[in-house]
Amino acid sequence: MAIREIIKYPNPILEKEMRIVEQFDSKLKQILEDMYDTMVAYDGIGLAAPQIGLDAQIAIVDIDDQHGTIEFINPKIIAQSGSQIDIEGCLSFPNLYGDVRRATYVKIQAQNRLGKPFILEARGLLARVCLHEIDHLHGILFTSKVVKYYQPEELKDGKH
Amino acid sequence: MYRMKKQREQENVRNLALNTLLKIEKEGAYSNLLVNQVLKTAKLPLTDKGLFTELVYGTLQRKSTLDEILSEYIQMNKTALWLLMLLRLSLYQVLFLDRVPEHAVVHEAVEIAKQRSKGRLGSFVNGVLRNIIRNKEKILLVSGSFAKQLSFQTAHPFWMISYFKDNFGEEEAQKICESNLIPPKQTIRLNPLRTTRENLIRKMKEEGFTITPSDFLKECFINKQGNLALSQAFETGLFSIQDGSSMLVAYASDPKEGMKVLDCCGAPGGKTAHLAERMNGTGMVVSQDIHPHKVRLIQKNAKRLGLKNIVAQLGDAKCLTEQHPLKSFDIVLVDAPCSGLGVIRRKPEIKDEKTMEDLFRLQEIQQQILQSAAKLVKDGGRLIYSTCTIGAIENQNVIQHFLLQNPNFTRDSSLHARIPTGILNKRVQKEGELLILPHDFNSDGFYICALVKERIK
Ligand SMILES: [Zn+2]
Repeated sequence: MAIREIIKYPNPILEKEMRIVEQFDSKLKQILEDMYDTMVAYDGIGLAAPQIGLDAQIAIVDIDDQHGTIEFINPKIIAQSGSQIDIEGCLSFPNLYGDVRRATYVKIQAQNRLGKPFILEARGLLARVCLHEIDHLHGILFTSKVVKYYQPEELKDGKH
Repeated sequence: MYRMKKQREQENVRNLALNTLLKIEKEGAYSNLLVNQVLKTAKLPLTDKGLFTELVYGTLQRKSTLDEILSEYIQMNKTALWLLMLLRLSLYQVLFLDRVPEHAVVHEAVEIAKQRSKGRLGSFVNGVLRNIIRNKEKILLVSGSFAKQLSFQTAHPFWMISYFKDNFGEEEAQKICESNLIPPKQTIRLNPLRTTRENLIRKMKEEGFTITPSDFLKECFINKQGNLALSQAFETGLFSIQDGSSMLVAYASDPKEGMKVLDCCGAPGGKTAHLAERMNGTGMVVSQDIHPHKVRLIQKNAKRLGLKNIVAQLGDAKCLTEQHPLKSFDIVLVDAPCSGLGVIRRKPEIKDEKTMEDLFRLQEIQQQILQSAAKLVKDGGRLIYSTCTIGAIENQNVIQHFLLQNPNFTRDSSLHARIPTGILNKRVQKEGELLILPHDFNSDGFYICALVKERIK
């Protein structure tokens, strides 16, 4: 198990387009394991490769539902619909929270750790997290989509 | 993305236990390491920490019993892993944890199931659990053959129970299996180079810990509660965390000041450090491991304890003669890789993971290492073999085989004189050997054999 350091804003890697993954080897497997350990250690429900300083289109998502941990290599959004607003926070922006508008439904095509393509349909929170992480792979940060920021004291009233 | 507070509020001790169990199942993570890690990072109240530990260890330990019952109510192979694990976790509480009311168990399980299935599986979980509770009395009244009954009561696989029975008889086999269900106690070994008994007890008291001296070993103390690895006294090297049984290895080795000792499977360095402490920081203990990160672990431990007579190095125990001159050590310790059947209470997953074939596969490695280690022992020197497993395949048979091939080695007739009598009196011990079963002293099951190399006249 290895917990990596989380890269924080304004590190420039967070705003770059990530490279396509071409090698599906044991190194990739190790990266995915490390990303999982790091995500769990920081109480995350999603993590993208640039957040641990890696220039690669890799993201993982785990919202504790029946999907378990979903690993996305080179993901593409092939369809989305609907609209929902909810609060988000990002491991690369400690103590910053804001409402973000996202699709309620998303269809994603990606490859698994062996390079095999798969399609995932996600709704609600799962769709939100997937979209947040895939944005990371294109250098897009949630702060560019926030419609309303929260003050720290607003978060203590138990509403969220 | 962060888990937001509205999800975090739903996190509770059972959910955490469920996630930990799933991680152990999926990744084969060692349960004791993971439980400690979760306890360190999770924000649980103290009362829930105890429950968390009990839920994880208990569910793992009783897995085969739980599955046997569940298989009569659900189709096991068609049930998602998380759902199966949730049912095991809940059933464990219903059958074996009296202090949790049944309705609370069902309620929590239904809530978790709803969360994880978007509401779909709540009534399914409710139905299964209520059905089982209705038949609880009948389930608990089981009969059958010795192995079947013991397997059901204590959740050990059949082969393991038969193996224990063949080695130690029915009565001892039952005691072993039952004692494997008792959560392990943390024990520590005082570092005599840094502190004294009185001083250590006082220091620990100041830090809010209660330790009581062991009845048999002067350097050993038993922890009442809490994790001593988090104490200041641990950081500053006043003690090591080590099970009482494995402390006996240094007694069996009995190194003298100025000696040259080799611990050829040394990581994480507990026995290495004990040997170095007994040599009062003099001489040299070479401690090897085949993995670089484990060598670093030995170094870290030696540094923390202030033991300058430890040399940690990378090396393969199967080909020691490539790294050291022949006959160059007074004592060579082979603390061999083994199946761990003596430490099931610490690592309950051993019950599910190990097979009879593993024992024979390990036996081959053990023989190889012992053979290679023997060449480095000086004439008149000592060769110590130890494992944290019980049963002849990995212990007595390895020694018998070794002695047949190496007539210049004999069993050390002076071993028993070096072991505290309270420990020796527990069971009949063969010359040069020491066997500890887990229920003897509520410590690890352990095997030690001391051999001496002939002096050339
Ligand atoms: Zn983020």
